Amino acid sequence: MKKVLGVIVWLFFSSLTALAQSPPDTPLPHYRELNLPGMREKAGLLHQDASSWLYLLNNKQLQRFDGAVWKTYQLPADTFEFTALTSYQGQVWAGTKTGQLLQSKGDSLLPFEPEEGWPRKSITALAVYRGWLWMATAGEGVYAFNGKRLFLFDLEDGLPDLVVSSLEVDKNGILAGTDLGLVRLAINAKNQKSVRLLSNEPLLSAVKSDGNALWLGLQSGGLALFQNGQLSRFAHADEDAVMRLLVLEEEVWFSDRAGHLWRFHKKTKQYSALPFTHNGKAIRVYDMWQSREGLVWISTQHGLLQAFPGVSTHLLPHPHDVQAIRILPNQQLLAGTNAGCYVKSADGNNWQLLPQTQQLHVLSLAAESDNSWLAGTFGQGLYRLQWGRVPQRIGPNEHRFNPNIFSIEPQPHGAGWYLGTLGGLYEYRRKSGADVVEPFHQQHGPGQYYIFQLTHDRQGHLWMATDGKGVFRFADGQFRQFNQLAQGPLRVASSLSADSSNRLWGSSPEQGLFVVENQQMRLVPLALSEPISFVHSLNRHQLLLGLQQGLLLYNSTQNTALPLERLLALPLTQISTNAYLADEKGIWIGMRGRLLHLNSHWLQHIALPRILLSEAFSIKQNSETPGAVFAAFDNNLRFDFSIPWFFDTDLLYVRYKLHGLHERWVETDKREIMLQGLNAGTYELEIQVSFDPAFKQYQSVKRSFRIQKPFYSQWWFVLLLAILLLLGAAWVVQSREEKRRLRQEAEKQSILAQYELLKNQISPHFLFNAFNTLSALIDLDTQKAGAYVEQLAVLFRKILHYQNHDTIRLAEEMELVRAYVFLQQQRFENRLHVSIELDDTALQQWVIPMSIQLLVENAVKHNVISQTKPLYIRIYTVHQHVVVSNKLQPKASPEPSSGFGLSSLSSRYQQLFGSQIGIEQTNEHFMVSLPLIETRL
Amino acid sequence: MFWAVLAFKAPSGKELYEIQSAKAIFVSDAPLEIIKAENAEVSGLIDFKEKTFVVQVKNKGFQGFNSPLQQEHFFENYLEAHRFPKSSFKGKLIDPVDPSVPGTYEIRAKGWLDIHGVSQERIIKITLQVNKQQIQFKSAFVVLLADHQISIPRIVYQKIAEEIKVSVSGSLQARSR
Repeated sequence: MKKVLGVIVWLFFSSLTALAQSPPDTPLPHYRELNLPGMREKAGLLHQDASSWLYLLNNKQLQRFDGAVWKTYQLPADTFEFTALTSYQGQVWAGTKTGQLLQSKGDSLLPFEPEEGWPRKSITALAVYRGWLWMATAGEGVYAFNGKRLFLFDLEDGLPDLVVSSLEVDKNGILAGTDLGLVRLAINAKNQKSVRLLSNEPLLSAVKSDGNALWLGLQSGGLALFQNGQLSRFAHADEDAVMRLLVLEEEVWFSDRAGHLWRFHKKTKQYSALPFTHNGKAIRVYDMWQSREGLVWISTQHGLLQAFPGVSTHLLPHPHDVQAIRILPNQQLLAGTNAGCYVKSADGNNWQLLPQTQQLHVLSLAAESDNSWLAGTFGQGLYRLQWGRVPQRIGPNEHRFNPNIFSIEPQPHGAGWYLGTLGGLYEYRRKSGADVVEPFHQQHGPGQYYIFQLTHDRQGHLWMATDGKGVFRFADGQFRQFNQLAQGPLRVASSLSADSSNRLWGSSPEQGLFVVENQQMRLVPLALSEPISFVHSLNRHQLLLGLQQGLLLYNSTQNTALPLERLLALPLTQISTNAYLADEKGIWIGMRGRLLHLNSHWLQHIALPRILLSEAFSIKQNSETPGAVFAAFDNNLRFDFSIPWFFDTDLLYVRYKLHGLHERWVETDKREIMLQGLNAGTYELEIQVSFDPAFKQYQSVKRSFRIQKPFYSQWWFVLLLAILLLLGAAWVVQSREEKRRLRQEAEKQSILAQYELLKNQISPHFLFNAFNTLSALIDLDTQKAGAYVEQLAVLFRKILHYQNHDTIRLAEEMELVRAYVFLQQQRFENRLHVSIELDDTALQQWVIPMSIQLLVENAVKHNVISQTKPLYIRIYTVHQHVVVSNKLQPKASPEPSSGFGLSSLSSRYQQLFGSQIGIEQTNEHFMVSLPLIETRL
Repeated sequence: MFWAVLAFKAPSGKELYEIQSAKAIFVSDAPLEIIKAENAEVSGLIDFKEKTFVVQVKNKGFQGFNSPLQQEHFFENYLEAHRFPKSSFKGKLIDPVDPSVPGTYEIRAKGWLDIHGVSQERIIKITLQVNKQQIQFKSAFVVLLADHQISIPRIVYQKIAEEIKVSVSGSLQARSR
């Protein structure tokens, strides 16, 4: 029980030593000038939005910066004098000296005015709180706008003055600094306004929150602190109005109207100038911005500065190698070098060499009391240092001990000190007024092996780094060795550091980084070009690894190691194994001629940046949404992305892969990806960013999209084409059929025309004969003449009747023939004999009208018909043909003939029925056979 | 009421002006019907020195609906003119006007718009034309019915707009005392 209590008491005291205050002096924060090629306008208003993009606005240009690329926005043609800049609802908003408000849209900054109108007075500040855009004016109070409603806070609402010069959002709401006091403003859910006066300190030009307190910048110069309802003013020699105000962990930085940059130390309450320069010239501050990454951006007349308030450099008067650092309970900082020991007092800004220590090569330091310190040296033994006294060598007593003391650690209960030497572990105690140094040699201990470092873990156990035996732990009176690695035994351990998760980290010059976790030791694979000189745990995930010429920030969960000197553009030289020390804010690192202090909170912010993938551009469209579809021939795409990262961009490895096309990753240092001539298909673009060229840990972003198939391979087009082809084929077939039918029709028409002609031709010729016969008959035999006329009438009636018929029954044709024969017989009397031998079947069949009559007429026309040579005509059927046959007795002088009749008849049969008529002539007979048609045409 | 009292209290020389004649027009442009009505019963005072004003309209004075029945509905169901006989806007002018200097003034007034017994703080733009004898004024703004707890039954949703366009114009005459 007593022991446990003792450990707790010891822990309390040791934590007091560990949590010793950092010195209050104000060394120069680290900063660098940014000379960026893409930056057009230098001085301007600064703002960083939720995506971390940095905006710089002046009267000529609005520019956006992501650490690598500047993007320029278009400004309206009118000249504006911009006074305030913020981002609200995803857009950049800027206020002007004449009361206008401008809003970014796409690549432009455009004037914006609500229905109610905007102020006539200068806009002095813009802020965003709870969905409202707040706007302070110089003379009209404060406006709040949420896209629908516009409210004005003025004197009626309780605002002390209409001239409002600053706005600030803290965790309790929105604050406004007016010329007559500080107020808190609010709009509740029922759209009711309220104003609460916090302080009536007049002429506030800047307000910034600091936890529960508020820092106020005064127009009369200097700062005031408002805390717990109390206001304290801090007079400043510079009486110029405070313009921009930044609240940092230990300091408040501000600029005045003339552009000078000042800082105020919160603890010492002292002002001092911040002597930043740009290209060797003093700067004039235009605006300042504190980013979430802990950086401070300073816009000056010459360009941008990037300040790292978490990193400060303390210069020693001499360029000696700092090898040990201690912070003493009275806040003094002690630095042991290879040529003496330096002290920086709590109130002084100068380092002072402790008298007569320049001969000492100090390797380790410890505080014995407020004004007495122990220094372990390289080959010179242990010394007690005291202000104003000569260094006092401790020992050697009867136990001679190794004079190379690499490490000093306190024992529990303030009993004494462990000394890690090149001759093993010793302990130093004061025994009855005398200094006693004895070997701390016990069983299973490191024996006389070199001890490079001693450290305590959170449970109060002592750990030793040895040369040749690995690591030892001393706990509860027992030593335990740790040197079993999967790769073989660990030999040399040079540095140790316990973290808050019960892990002990260590470094070996040969074997690199190792860790003891759950009583197991293992190596942590890290490809490093030089040995690690020290390891120090910052927090659960981060370790600081000291190299000879650099510092690595190692993330144990991500297994990434970032070179801090490149990250922060820090000049680092010659870091010694023991020259580091943690205080409650961060870590001190000693090197040649100076000490560096890194804020560990600040280092935690250094993480892999996010990738912001904006639009995908093709020639025809811009698409911001995933799954965008591009036309087949709009297949040249550009993807713009941004990786807001304001440290060394060369530390970022960026690669991309188009899933669906690329087999391998493509590395790039650009912030755009061109994909040209993509084939149809679905793709997914993935972009990764990593600190590690092997991309073991990365941030990535994905965007899927689709390139359409060309129209000719789309299913609908194929279907349409098939339908069209079928329709086309059908149309061709149909039209050919139609054409054929039309041609047939035309042919038939022409035949019919010929036929008509023929019929017309018959009539006059026939009529001539008929009328001659009739005129003769009238004289000869009036009775016969009457019958003749009757038959002539029958003939003509039939002709008229059949004129429009294509075919008639043979029976009907024979009636016509009989009438004709009767008429001709009147002329030729018994010299013409026509015998008709047709059966009923034949008579029911079809012939072309007047075809047989034509044949009979031809026979009459072309043959001699005389008393001696009567003409015999036979009409009969043979094999479905009707035959007109006559005895061949041609006229000597043939009657003139058109020769049309028979050939015309022949072609008509050919064309109408596709059948031939038969013409046969023997010595005795002339025969024409006409095919009998079974059906009517 | 406070501002109204103030306005009456401090008549200083030619700074106090009274509405001589004015008309208020409202237009409800709903998908199915446009309703328009005019009101000449507008009264008010403006004190250019104190930058205070009050304007009020007698609700029953609206004329010109599409039917007498509609007018009745308007008075009884929506404006509830028997309970809330007047609508008003009173407050302070944000921008200054010098009535002795002729010219056109585009000013903004911040005040409480009281319709249907519900007050809403509003900033409204007013154009003033200052002549030697009198001052002409005109103003146009939008009133959201929901802001003044005037609810529209679903059945007439398509006939009454949620945003009512209001315009007021008239002339002011210096009040001699």
